[in-house]
Amino acid sequence: MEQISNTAKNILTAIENKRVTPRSKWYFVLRNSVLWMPGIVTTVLGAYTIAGVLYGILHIQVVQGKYIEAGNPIFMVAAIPLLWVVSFGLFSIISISLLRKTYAGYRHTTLQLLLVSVACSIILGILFYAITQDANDNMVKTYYRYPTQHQEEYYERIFSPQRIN
Amino acid sequence: MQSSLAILTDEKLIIECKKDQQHFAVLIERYIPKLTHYIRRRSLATSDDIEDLLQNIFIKVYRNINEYDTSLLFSSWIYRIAHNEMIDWYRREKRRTTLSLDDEAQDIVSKLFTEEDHVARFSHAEQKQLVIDAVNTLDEKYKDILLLRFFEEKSYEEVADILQIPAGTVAVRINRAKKQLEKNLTKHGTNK
Repeated sequence: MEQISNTAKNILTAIENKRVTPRSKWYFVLRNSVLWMPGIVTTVLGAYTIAGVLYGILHIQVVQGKYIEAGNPIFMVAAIPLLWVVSFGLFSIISISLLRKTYAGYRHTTLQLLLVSVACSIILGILFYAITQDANDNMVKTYYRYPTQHQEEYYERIFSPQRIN
Repeated sequence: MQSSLAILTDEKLIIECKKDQQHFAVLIERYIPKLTHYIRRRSLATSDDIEDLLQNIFIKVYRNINEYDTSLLFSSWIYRIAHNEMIDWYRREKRRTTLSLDDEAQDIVSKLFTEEDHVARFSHAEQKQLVIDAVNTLDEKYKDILLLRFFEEKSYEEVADILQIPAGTVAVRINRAKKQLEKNLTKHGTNK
């Protein structure tokens, strides 16, 4: 320890006096995992959103009743689960800001991280949709309440007024 | 022992530090002059402040030694810790970031501008205060970038690693800093 400057000596003494010890490697592994967690949750949430959107668009007649034609752009928008999309957006903001604090997260721009997250969600979403399609159909058949007589008259007035006249 | 350790790279020393504190002493000695210089340029800190800052920086390095990612240069990592410590210090002291460039003030003009008229106009000794004022009225994010790139002579990648921003952002900010400095120099020059 000879030829050491006073400043260096003071620093080493401070380390000793304050009993500073290196934090365990596991502490950082755990911290890094916690930072990654919202990113993973966002991707899964995004995947469910995509699966929901796909189901809504491709099965629009089942969900919206016989008066609505499949492929009508207005009702395709209506089929998008907005709550899921908003949640996905909020989670994306949180997870991207946390991902930037990981070892190499800051090297990528927000747009790059967002694109990767959305791309993963789309791929996973298509997979979810393909896997859960039958289960969703069964769920809609079991739980979906088709329009009552009163509602049917209401839809008729809105969508096909010429028939009433 | 010290002389044999002196030939080791920072990255090797930091790995060995976990087993033997002597290696850490070598790292401390190696970085005290560099960080002292950086802190002096980055602030108007007194010698006591600098000593406290250095102590805090090395304590943080020692405590977080296992966080060091070997894909990164050790110097980038320690400068990052120093940079964050400086931000905390400014917050504690409730001061505005001030670069203390003094004799180096004119260098920034020749380092930043290739246009001969700028260099000729602002490189005279009597323009020193003008340049210092123009630099210190820059946005905070630009001051950091200019200091690291042109005075600490860090590469774009190193600056990116220190400030934890993408390398592309470093290039953009340098360009904007240059434009803002040019504007400030003209403004301060015409006010005089």
